[in-house]
Amino acid sequence: MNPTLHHLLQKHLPPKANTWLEGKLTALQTDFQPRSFYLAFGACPRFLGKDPLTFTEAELSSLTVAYPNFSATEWTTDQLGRILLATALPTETNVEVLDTLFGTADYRELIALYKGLYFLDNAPDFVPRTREGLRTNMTGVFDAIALENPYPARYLDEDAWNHMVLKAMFMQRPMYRIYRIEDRKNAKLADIFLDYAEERRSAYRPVSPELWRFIDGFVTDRARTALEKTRETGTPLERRAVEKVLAPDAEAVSWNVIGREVETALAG
Amino acid sequence: MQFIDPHVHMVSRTTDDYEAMAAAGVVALIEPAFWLGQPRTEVGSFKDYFSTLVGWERFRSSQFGIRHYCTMGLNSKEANNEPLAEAVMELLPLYATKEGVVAIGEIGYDDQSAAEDKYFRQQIELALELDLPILIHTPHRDKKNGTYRSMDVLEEHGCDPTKVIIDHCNEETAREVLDRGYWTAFTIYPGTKMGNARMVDLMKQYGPERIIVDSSADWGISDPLSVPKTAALMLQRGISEADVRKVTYQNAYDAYSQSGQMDEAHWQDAPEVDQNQLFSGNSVLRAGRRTSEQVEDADNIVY
Repeated sequence: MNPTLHHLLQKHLPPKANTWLEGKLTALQTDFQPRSFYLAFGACPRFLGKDPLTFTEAELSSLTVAYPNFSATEWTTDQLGRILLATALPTETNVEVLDTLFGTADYRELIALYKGLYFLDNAPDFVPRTREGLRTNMTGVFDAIALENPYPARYLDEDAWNHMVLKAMFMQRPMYRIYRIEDRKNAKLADIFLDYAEERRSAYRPVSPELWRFIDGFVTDRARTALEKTRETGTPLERRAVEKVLAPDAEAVSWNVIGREVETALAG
Repeated sequence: MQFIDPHVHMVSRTTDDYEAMAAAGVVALIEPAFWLGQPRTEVGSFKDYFSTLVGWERFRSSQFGIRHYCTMGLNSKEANNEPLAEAVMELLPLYATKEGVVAIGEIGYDDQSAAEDKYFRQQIELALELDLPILIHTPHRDKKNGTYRSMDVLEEHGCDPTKVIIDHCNEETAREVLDRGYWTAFTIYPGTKMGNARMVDLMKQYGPERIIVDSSADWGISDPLSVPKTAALMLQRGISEADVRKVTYQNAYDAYSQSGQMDEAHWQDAPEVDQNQLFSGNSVLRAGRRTSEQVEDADNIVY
């Protein structure tokens, strides 16, 4: 069981919810039965509520040790309760037990499960599950894996990582919110994104200004041609993005700022 | 007006239907677990179907601003395959306690066979154990006897009629169902069930108490706009707006919110309907025509 998470939930849950959760944790540890784990996991919203939790700065820094980037998203009581229950499973069998749960989970359960994988002691064992999860078309579930979650950057190999990033672009997700997006850029990804930009142009479809972020640092001749064309014909935001690649300037806005502008434009 | 369609099988419907329902004022719907038009042969097909009801279909619906709930159950037709039925019964407790599951259903009789009776009773017991409402499917053939028998069995198991919805009622069964204290639901489904003009007459005869209107739209020739269209006809034929609201919104809400899983705040505050998730970047509204004129032009599609 994750001690940091356990300690903080104990501090933040009202007494009745705490008693319920402690009862379930004790039962899991004294006599582990998959069925009682599934029922407890399912019942978390009912007994713990679904309100977002607010942590102090000190609490957040302890959580960040266990889970980098913890403070970037909102966490609700049922979500953290479910994750704590999952961390209480014996690691020898948790892949099998959680696979069954993943196979029957509802929307909100899937989000909690994928957000929480990083907390598990044998987190690397869940790479196949994460890759399966990324095949979803439910935006909220995809976001739970791809955005702000430290799991993919740490555990996915280059091909799996590239597929996730590409799919995020296809789904028009805010790319700048992918944790460690900058560190894991690579030449292969840049090349695929160039193909993608050309495909979009042929179809008279817009190309996200955030795409050029993945070309930045990998400017081949082919990339230069595409960048120059965009500088001539692109929208103002696209021009700012390609300019940033073609003529690096310390004063230029950051990719995160460009990403936020793209996100705002899409939401509007 | 706002409507709830408390019985509609959205897995069989298109995004056009979702759009039309949202435009017509449907704010929430309930998708009962049923059969798919042909019998399933593997328990895994049920598992994936149940997962769809609490996952993908819920998400698909939310993208149109309609709140999606469901009921879980083994339908009477497929209860006749006993080895399969046994396996489905083992699966049910896993899904019956999920969020947004507002009843056990639709259960009851089709042929009124011994196997149907067995699993009907087992599922009544499951609903009692979990304190969930029950949605009863009354049969097409031998309807009157099937309906009465369903109520007899429910009463034998000690069910509270105010926690049971008897669906697909008609002129022949309505009086008895109402008199015995059940929620009395009518399905406006051309051809095999009710027509909406008949529904108006029934309303005039019985008034609005404990009466529920639904579409049961599915893979057959049916109409996902049955509820709003019937409401319009009721208003046109002189039934008060308050009464129309009862049978097309409030009664269904009162019946199913007894599950503790359905709350008006879900669609009135709509915290989980994120505009960004709604209108951009997903496979349902893929670079969709709803996003903007620009995308429409860019896709070179002429509407």
